[in-house]
Amino acid sequence: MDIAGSSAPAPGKHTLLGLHDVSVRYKSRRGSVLALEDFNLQVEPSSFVSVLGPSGCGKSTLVRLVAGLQAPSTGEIRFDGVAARGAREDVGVAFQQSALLPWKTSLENVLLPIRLTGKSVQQALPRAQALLELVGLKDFQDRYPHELSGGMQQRVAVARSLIRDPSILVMDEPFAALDAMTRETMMIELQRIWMQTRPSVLFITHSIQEAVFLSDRVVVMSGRPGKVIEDLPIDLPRPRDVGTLALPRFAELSNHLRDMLGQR
Amino acid sequence: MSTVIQVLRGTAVRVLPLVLLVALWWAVVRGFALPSRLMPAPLEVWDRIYAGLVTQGDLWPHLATTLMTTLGGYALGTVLAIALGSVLAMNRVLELTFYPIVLLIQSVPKVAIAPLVLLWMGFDTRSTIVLVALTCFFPVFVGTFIGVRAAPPVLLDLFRTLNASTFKTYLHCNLPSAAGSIVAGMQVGWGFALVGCVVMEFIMGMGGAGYLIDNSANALDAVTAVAAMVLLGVMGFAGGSILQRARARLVFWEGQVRHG
Repeated sequence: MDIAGSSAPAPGKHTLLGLHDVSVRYKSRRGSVLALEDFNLQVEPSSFVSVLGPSGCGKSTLVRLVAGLQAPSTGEIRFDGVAARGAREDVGVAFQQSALLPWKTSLENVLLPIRLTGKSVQQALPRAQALLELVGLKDFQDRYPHELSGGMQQRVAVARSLIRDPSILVMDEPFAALDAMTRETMMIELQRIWMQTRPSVLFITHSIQEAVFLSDRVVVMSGRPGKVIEDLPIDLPRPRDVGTLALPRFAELSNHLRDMLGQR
Repeated sequence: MSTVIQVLRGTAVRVLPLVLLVALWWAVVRGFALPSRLMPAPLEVWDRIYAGLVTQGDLWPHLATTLMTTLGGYALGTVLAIALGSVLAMNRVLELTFYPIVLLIQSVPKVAIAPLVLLWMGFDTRSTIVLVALTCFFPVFVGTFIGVRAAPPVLLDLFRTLNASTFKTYLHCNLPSAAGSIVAGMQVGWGFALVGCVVMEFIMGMGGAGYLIDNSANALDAVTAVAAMVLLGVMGFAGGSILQRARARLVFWEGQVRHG
């Protein structure tokens, strides 16, 4: 099954996504709030980067910036070194809620990005079906979201975010609404899906376990205004499995991150 | 409890209010010894309906006139309301400009415009259709406007990340989200539509259930007037029920959405 399209960039050291001195200021009636300040972040092609931070540290703002839903107040966002504005076709987004259209089946939901761009849905059909198979929902393509469990809905959302073969996938706490058991399954599933498709992933989470298990690098943000206070490479071998969670190195990395989050 | 008893009980619960109403009606007519030319008893009305629909068939033309005219005006009003409600909900500038105008027009009782509509449109069905469209417009308009506006923000964000045009966002996101609300407006609108039609028929006196009620009452034929009234009620109820079912089918996901 060829999921990774031809446009996927070869792994290399150049930067796919770069945020340079990005600040975001919200204006409200009670004055202005600085959500992000001088934020710098580089994501290499095909790498998995998690962003970890306390509630209200501007993680959601970060997602909206990269997804093109919002422009920075100052600073610049670059894709492949080129300054970018607005939504981009090579960025896939998976939201905290699955954000599926309740009146469309799984398959139709996965095909939505194709339908909206006016490309041939017929042509994209085999790929949509392959993606549903990849996320383990081969037999559920004709089901509606309300007939699926929360975890399954999130899988459909992941399949949809991959349909346009993005070079970067932004995931905003995609498992936050799921129960603990499902979260662990989804974590392992996501690694498998990512290793088969290899987009860059910017994974926003407040779960240390998810961040360490999934990532090549974990970026820790401080509370408001959000700044990078740690950029930790995760040197655990892949593929990681349930056994990885029990490794001393896993505990060591987790504890370090826990300290980083705790001391601020 | 067996299913047969359950079904019987369900039916009983639905029929009971009707039985009570008819019993009350009968009791009042009997208790106050009301003469039939003022207020007929339920059985007399039933006989009149039976004759009018089955043996003599003299009520059919009037009912058909009312039904067709109301449907025509209702279709016109609904289509315009959905179109205008959608456009105003999707565009801030148009909303600020036209929403107050719609509210202003709405605050005039439609029935009060009836004679003017007659003056402008002429003494025929066109006037009735226009009045019906005016009376049923507002509930559908509001239902559409609110429904289109209430599209979940996360879905709108999704469409923005997919670079969807306003029209495609409307078509694939706002409109389907609004479906339940639009049909709810249409349910209210159907009752209003019948009011508009009957009022115009009162004024024009050229046939229809409204004309029948007016004319029969003037001729002290209360039996026919009440029969026509009951049939209008049936028409209103039937329309509401059909829309209720359509709504359940159309928004099959509603009440069972499990948004993460």
